[in-house]
Amino acid sequence: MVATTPSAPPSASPAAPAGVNSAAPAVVNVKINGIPVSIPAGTTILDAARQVQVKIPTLCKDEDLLPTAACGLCIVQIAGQPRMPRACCTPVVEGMDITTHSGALTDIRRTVLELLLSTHPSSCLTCGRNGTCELQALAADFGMRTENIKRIVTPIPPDNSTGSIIIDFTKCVKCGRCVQVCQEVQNVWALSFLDRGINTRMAPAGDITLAESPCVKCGQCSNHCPTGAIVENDETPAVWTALHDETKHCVVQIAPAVRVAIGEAFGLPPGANLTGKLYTVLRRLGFKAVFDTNFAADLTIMEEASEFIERFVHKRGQLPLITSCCPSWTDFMEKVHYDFIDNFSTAKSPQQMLGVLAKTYYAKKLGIDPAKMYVVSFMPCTAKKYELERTNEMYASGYIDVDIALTTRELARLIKQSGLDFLNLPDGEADSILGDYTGAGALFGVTGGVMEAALRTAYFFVTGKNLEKVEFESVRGLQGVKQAAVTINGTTIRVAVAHGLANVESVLEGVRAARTAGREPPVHFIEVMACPGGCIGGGGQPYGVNGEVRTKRAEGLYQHDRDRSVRLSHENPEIKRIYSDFLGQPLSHKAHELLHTRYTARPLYKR
Amino acid sequence: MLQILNRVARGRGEKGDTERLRAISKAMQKASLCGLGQTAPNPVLSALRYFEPEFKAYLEGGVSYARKMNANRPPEASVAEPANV
Ligand code: SF4
Ligand code: SF4
Ligand code: SF4
Ligand code: FES
Repeated sequence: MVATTPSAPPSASPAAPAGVNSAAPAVVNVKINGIPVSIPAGTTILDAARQVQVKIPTLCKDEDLLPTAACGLCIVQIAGQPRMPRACCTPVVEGMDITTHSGALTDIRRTVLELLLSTHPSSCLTCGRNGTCELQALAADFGMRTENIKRIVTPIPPDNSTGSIIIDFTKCVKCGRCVQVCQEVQNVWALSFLDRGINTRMAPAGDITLAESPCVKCGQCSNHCPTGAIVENDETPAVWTALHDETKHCVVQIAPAVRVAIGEAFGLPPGANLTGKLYTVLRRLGFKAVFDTNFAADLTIMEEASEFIERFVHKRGQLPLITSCCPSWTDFMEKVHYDFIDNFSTAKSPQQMLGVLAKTYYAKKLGIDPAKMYVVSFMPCTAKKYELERTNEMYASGYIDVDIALTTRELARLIKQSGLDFLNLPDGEADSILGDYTGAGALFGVTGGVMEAALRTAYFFVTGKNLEKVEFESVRGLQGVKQAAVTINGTTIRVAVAHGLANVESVLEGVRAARTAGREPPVHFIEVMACPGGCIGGGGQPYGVNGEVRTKRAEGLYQHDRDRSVRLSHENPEIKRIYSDFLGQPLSHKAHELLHTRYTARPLYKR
Repeated sequence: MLQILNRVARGRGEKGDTERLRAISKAMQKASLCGLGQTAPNPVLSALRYFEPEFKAYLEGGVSYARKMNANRPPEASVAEPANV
């Protein structure tokens, strides 16, 4: 029997609507452009205006984040007030008579925009955000045709030290979103405001490079930056070179979260599942084999669930077991929470597992020289670029296991460059031996998914039977920390799921406290994903993410899970085959050699 | 603003500079978050208000006029103080 009891604490979700005071639902009456509106007290003018179908122009405000009130574009007029307050950070007050658009407002907004443009380089054509930049869109909407104020661009050299993201300080509009994301949502504090005036820049304290800083390469800053100041390191040219190289055997994998988000770059709503079209497009791009990271996710589950059984049932090893498939999280752990190294699952991430198996198992089966193989992965994630060379174990095949990792945004670009009519392509199939996957594997892309998939298989490992109801609703949803208790055969397993690195703290503190007091750990199994929402909200995903978009992408994956005929990792026929043909069994010597890794404490500061 | 004021003071002002100064000043007054920003453009606005003819003279007279006018002043002052303040 399985009983799940959701006991999620009302934690502060990073996606909570900013500025809305949910505790006091008192309603106030205001007028916006003459239209009367009744709206909960505490709502910002910006949100209130949406109720009357008015979109006030903004630049610095991000739906995910608290207003920084940095740009001044969202100014409005309020009858009786001489100044123009900023709509993004001004709450409505009973009786306010608000004007959102007038000649005076447009004039001043234009001047504000002119001032912004006067410190911005005019390099739109070669910018990573060409076509998606919020500043560019504003300049287009406001019809900026002349440079009225002479341009002064402070020449600060870019930071491309990480290989994952690139900061071009000259394109920064000082909105502060990246700093807020890095500090408040991710709790990493790699970025902060340095210097003053036109020399202001968002950089690691002490002017060190990003690579030397605590940065975990999650890319959330790049995902929230309105301009091209922080972008992923675009590696599409390298993929074309490899594809056109006759001597190379190029194979490819796509991560679970990519398929439900890539459509957004082609005008589809979030959550649209394009798995079949992705297979076709990749094949037509020239990849010799198309694999699915979901297959490797199933494999990760086999290894991780076995590790859990080892630790929980056979009492060999530390509890709680902590998931390790998110490279930003492992990086963060090695830097900050290294007292948990022994708790970490040694299982590699699905990306790395697939890479090593492509260059060993697949290469051997097909008689291909692994030296000639080139493994490309498409990930929702900028940290996956960093993961490729994380440790020596990432070369377990004798070569670099995955040659290159690109983000969803780069994949969209690659497809657009190819001229293929992506949305009208027929659906294709993945290639055998590393391509079949279960619904459980698909769930890896969303917060709680690894936990859910692992519990499905752990239940089987303990009882020898499959679950009747495979869904674990209590680990779904966007609350920052989710907790649940699962009873298997009379034993209760307590699990916790955290996403957004700032939410990890409270979970780990509980474990530390129990450890110091010599008590049983409060939880047995912890899943952590660095990005809010998990990989569906990854730093390399299409722009414009907010709580609603995350929910829709997650729903896309849940639907995908429901649609799969096999929904349990251990039932995947290709997984069964790889164990019988190649790996032996989970945690075998061979599995350890190829599928597991190790961690090293790399304390940043002596605290 | 400093950039514009400086170039006017050097006799290298451009057509529309007074309007530009007014527009930026107004945006600062109306749209600044704090009192500092809201009042910072006041000296520029009063200069424009009481010494508009001087601004015109500098704009029309060009470099030679500015040189003549600035000759009696210490060099830094002539740059920092565009009009006869
Ligand atoms: S990649 Fe993540 S950790 Fe690094 S600076 Fe950006 S938000 Fe911070
Ligand atoms: S780097 Fe981007 S997100 Fe950060 S302050 Fe500058 S414009 Fe804003
Ligand atoms: S949550 Fe996913 S997308 Fe985000 S850093 Fe981790 S692995 Fe990458
Ligand atoms: S959006 Fe309100 S100040 Fe920038």
